[in-house]
Amino acid sequence: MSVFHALGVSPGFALAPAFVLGRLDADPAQRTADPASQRPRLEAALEKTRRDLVSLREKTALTLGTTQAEIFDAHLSIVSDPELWSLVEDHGLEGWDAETAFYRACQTFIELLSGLEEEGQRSRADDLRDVRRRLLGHLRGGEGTNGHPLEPCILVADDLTPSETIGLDLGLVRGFVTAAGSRTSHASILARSLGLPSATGAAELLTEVRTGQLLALDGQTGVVIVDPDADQKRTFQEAQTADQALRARRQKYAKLPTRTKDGGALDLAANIGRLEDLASVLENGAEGVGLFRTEFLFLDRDRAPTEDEQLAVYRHVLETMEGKPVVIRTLDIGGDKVLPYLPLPQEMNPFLGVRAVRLCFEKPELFRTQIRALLRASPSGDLRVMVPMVALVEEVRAVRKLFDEETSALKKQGIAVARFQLGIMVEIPAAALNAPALAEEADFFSLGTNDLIQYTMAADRMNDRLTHLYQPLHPSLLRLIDLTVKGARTRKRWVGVCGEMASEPEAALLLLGLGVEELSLTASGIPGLRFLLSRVDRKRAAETANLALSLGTSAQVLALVKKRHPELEDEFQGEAS
Amino acid sequence: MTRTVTVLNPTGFHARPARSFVDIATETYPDTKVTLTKGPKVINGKSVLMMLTLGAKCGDSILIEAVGGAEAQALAQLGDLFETIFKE
Repeated sequence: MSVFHALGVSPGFALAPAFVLGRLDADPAQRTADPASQRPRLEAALEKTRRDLVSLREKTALTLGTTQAEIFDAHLSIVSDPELWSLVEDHGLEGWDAETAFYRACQTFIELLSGLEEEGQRSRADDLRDVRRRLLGHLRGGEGTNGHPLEPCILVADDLTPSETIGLDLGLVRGFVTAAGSRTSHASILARSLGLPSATGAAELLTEVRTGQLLALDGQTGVVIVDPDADQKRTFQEAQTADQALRARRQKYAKLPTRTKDGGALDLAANIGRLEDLASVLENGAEGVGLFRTEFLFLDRDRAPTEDEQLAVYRHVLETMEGKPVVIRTLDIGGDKVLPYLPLPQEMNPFLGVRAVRLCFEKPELFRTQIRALLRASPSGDLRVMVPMVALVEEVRAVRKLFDEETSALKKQGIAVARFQLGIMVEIPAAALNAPALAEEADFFSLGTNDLIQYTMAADRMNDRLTHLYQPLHPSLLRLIDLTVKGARTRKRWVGVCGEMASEPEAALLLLGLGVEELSLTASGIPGLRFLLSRVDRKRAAETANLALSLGTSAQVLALVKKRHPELEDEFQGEAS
Repeated sequence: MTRTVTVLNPTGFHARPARSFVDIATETYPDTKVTLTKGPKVINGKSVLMMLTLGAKCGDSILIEAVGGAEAQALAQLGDLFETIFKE
């Protein structure tokens, strides 16, 4: 039994065996008791790897052309290299298992090649790592580069990328534990949207735990116990039962509209990334979709979705929401999200680079296809298109021009286009500071607070050594939000928040106080937050927000909110996310 | 049998020609042992990874040795290929 203290990022309890995913970049360092079976294992894995690579080469040649496909020729010659296999054999003779022998043989060449690499060339060492992951994945009995769980488990991984989680059977996952990450990394967001417990920052745990070991996970406190004893198991099961009871009680707020204590209305909308999320949106009584991340449509495939494919998805979301507002965000690729069929040049600072709308301007056909699909879907409901990463007024004008052009073209073909809103995501400080001018051009603002915090603090949110700078309650951020709301009011535009901070009770109260009219969060958090807001008086919240604007630190802001709003402290405290 | 060739390509030794070299050496001359020597480094001519670690630059002189099987033919084809490729 050992106890680890990680960062809790999605509340709830889970007790299930670990499934360690994707730990293919670490030396397994395992000896084998059965040396004779290692070679056939390697041969089988090699055969599967070759088959993968040949099929990837063919697919890539078809979709992207032979030049792009050449990378897989390079991988094929690496995986067949006689010198590599002779090293594997040497390690095998020393008693190492197939995984370790192959890992180390590749490592030797990775080190040799890393020393020789020239600037600007595609890295051969990276090719080797890629090939190694693929073959190790097959050795471990999985498909492709990662194994897949076959029974209920807690997923344990260094980090989880969107393309990794797409291939998983999430029905078997009871919780997540990751080494690198934060509240806003993909795995955390996914866990909250599924209502599953999750902890991150568990690097030490990753070095110890193996697939199949029993884990007890508390996603609120971040405590993870490996091989819990009988007492701990019982405590966990009790906590799990109590947690489920609490969730059930909270659920009655799923059926009510959001009203503050004084009767004020506020929309609690849901963030979604895939069609499967819609069930939870309806179940939790969301007053709309506040953020539909369309990039999930574009990930994990060989080529971009066609206009008709996109249309079907957008229409389905609009129809399911039956006239409630649906904010669909246009393609937000770049930064931490990349597409296999859209290779992008390496950038020194991808989060400050050609991402989101900037990339859309560079790939007009990709963008126009999405625009046409959105326009064609517009008669199916209350469509609100949101453009991410806007810094300039000119960018909004350019996007609107594209929408106008495609609208005329569609109308000429006799295709109906209904009224819709075209708004922007406010996530760059420059946009917040220039809100009055942007309000002239955009129909609404939605504050993307995850990125707004990152850009305001100049702190990469993927960097787990800078998590202390991720401060949703910081007065600097509150002032930017205040400017955005005031700017929007000059033209009577509505303002929403679709970042993670919307789900934190203290932050939600301040946002309400600052005049935000819509909060969009993971659907499972809606009933709890709705309950809390039913106890909050809007006027008092506005006074609190006003006082907070004159403070200097997040700690002061938090203390102020806690002191003035004891109604936030109750059985639901911390349950809202 | 041996033959000495000179790297003529100004960008040096790159992955694609190295791969063609290895493919021909492996597939056409399975019974011939092919080695490349550059200074103190002696490597297996049927290994792309070793070829990449050779780090041959423009002007480097490389000794190709072919032993066994159709060695004369192998040396001629591989030597020519080598010089053609690196003049490209």
